[in-house]
Amino acid sequence: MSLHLSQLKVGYRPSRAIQNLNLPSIASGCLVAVVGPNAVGKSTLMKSLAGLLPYWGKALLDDVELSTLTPTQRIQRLGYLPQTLPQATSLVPYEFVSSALRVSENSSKANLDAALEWVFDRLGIRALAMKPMTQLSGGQRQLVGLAQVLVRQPRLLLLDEPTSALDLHWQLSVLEAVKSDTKTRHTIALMASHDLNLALRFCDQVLLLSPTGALALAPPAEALTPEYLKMAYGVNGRLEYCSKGYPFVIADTTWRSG
Amino acid sequence: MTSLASNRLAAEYRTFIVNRVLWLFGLSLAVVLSFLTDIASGPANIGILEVLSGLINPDFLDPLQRIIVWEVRLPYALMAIVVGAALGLAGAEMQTVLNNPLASPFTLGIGSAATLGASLAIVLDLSWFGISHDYLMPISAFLFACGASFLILLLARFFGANVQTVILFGIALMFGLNAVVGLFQYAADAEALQQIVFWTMGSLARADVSKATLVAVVVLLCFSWSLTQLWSLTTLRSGEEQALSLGIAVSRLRLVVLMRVSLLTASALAFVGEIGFIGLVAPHIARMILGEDHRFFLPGSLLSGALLMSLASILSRMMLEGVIMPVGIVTALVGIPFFIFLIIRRGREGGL
Repeated sequence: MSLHLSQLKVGYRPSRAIQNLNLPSIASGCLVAVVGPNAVGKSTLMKSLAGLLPYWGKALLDDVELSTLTPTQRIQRLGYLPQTLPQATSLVPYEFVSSALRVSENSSKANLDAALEWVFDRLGIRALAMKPMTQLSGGQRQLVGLAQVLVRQPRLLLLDEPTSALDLHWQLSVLEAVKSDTKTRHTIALMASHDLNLALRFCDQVLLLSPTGALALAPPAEALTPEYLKMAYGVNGRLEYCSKGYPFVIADTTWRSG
Repeated sequence: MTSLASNRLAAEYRTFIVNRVLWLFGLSLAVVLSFLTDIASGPANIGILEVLSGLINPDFLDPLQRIIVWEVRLPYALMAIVVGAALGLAGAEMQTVLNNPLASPFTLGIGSAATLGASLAIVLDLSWFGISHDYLMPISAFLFACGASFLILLLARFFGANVQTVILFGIALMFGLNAVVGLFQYAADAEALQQIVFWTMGSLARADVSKATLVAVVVLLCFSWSLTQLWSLTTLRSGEEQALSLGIAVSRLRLVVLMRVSLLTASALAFVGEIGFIGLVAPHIARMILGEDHRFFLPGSLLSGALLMSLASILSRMMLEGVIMPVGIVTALVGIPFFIFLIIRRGREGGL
């Protein structure tokens, strides 16, 4: 399985969010962090690939153009986690996740039940399953939203800031779950994020977007170089290695060109 | 601990379902009881059991009682049930698709639009193509209600279905429409004026069994129709983007549901006049006891609406000895404090 993006334009004229994106093919089993400064088009890219917004150019998943998929085919292949948290309603997470399964799949009840068991265990949120969403915190709702996506076992995961509301424990837990999903089921995950260090820890590749276009699709240490950090974020930053050998980004000062 | 037999969550959830089925059963029972009480209450002193046997076997009652039960009170009580059911269902669906707990046919001005449509038919004394006035008035009310729904839909599309925006627009619409109705009232002759005023008070007095049957058929049709969209509606509660990403055509769903809401509201109000707050309160009751899984929420709201309206009908006979108050006045008296309570609670929770 592979995802191939070329000559991709997303967002509307005159100031398209992304003008012309050409990337090497992304292979299955790959977790890609999509990073870059605010308003660079991370969310728009996610939405466009998910079919919520139009795109121009090529976006091939297994050589099939995403925009030609029927709604049914799309929801079988793609799982999109919006940046907005699920609403606090009186639904309980179990209903929240199962309704998503019911609208998108025609499986037997036994299969649906098994998928639900699996996903609540996978994310470790079994204890929340029967509590009304109104009683959950923002972070807990975010986890339930992720469960709604993972339960369908899509082949391409598009996650827009899946950890924005989570504490340290759950950030790691979610990233571990997503990572193991890409490895065991050989799927592809694109994850928009502002957390560079989390991206460094877990991602196979980093797609660094800057206001002038994509700077790199490369392993984290090659994508987050001082030069690229300067160009993308306008900061003087560097990659350091902690005592355990993990890389992390430190931003020293802001930087302005000219 | 958590690692137990498989499908434990499904088993746990089953107790939820059993509870909710029991609640629905209880609500249905309450509706039946209230219906019988509604028929029994009044100066003629007929007991509930007598009413029940009289409905099953008319010969059980003496001729006078038979006329009171079958001719006078049954149409009233039936109409209360079906109108309440229609408004309860309409309110629930509307709150879901507009994602707005303060939405209801009444608070968004759809009721006022129906009033305007009815007033128009009354004042102009319409009778086209041999369709009688009795039916043109509801038809006109329906068309105006649809118009108001689509205005709301347009607004929601261009300015976002934000709670405050939609409610403020609804209030503006209500005032605007009331002003136009006032204009009609000013221009109308005495008889038409009386009809309009009577309409705006909402009364079951014009009920008869055939009208009640017509509304019942509409409720049944709309309810069966909504059954095909239960999961989509439930999923829409998780959020619009979530629903979109699951392949639900949210705009189309909204459109279809608002059409259904117009149909329900207009057919309910067409025969009884303006009745407020049932469509606002019933969904809240249903949500409180049944949650928002629409498999239970929609029938629950329908039943709560029927129950509330039936209780209001009973109350309308008991408030003043020997006088039957227009039921719309009763629902407003009970509903307004509840509406204010909701607004205050929303305010405290900071927005939404």
